[in-house]
Amino acid sequence: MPESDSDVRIAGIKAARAPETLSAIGLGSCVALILWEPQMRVGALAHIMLPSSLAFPPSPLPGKFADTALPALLQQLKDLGARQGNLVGKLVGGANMFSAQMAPNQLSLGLRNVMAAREALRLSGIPLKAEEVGGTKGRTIKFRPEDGRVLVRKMYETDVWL
Amino acid sequence: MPEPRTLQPFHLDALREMGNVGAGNAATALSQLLGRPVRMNVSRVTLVSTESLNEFLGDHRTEVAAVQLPVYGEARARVLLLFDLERLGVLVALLLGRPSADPKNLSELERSAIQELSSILTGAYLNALYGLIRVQLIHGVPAMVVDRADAVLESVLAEFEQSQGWALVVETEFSEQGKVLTGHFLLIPEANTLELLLKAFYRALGISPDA
Repeated sequence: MPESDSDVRIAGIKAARAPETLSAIGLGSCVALILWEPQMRVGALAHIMLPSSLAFPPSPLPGKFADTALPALLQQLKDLGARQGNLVGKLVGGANMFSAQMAPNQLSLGLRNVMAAREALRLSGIPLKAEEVGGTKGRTIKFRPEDGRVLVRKMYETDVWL
Repeated sequence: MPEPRTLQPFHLDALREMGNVGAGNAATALSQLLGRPVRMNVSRVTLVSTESLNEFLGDHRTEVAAVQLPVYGEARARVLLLFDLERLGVLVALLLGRPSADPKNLSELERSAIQELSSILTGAYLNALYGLIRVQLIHGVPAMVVDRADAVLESVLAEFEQSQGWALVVETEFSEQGKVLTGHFLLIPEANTLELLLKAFYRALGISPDA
């Protein structure tokens, strides 16, 4: 375990430089949007709660919404010397834990979060390199800006590296 | 957004009395269903801000069986029941009269028994709540998951698009043959009924709403 790991709480955003790592614990319907800059070995993570900020009053936490999270991530990464053209994205989370209670054809909040995060990446021209999304299980993740890898842990399942 | 004010000991007493009425009714219903006495005890009832729910749940926050029930009526809310997975065997033994196999791999019967218990408990607590705050609430069908409590809580709070609200928490202790399981009953109001419910609590507890 590296000695320096930061837990990015719900609606939070953090950037880190290798060998530091970033974690998000207990992602349910929330989505972790991760950006990595391989040359500078820096990265940032947003713990997104909702797809769009449009229907809400301005929030002091840009990480709360997929559409406001991305510009904030970019800013933090630029401050660490990252070049936008080098960035790649990864997405984890967006589970639908109580799927039994969904109406037929209803889009779960988890899925809407995933779709909004993909769209935010597309609009910024950042390639989505890997994702581990959907399903019914909560996730805990750890991201290493050292090599860009993301450890995904679910209860009673084998760990997955992205 | 309304924040629960610091409650005085006599406010907490009134809330706990409400919890005791609910637990008493639930215990009676369960005893009739199971044909033997059921022990249930309310240890704590309080209002907690949703931001501090994880901390509040403390040791019980890791792996849980979580049952969610939609709540409607004069206000909209969600009930979430959290049962510590490590001690889930106590509950299964209480309901089915035999020790549970593997809490990580519950049988259909065990799941259904836990959901039924959750329905009975929720009905009893919502009735008792009506006795106190005079807001009529009914609940829908339960759904259950086994996962981390923080992931479950996060999903429920996100769905209500609120992270700055509050929840009513009732801690219930179930005992079976000397072993105790603490279950957490959470009533989490939807954002647009937060204020209505909080005012009803304040009125019932004799707290001035604009103090």
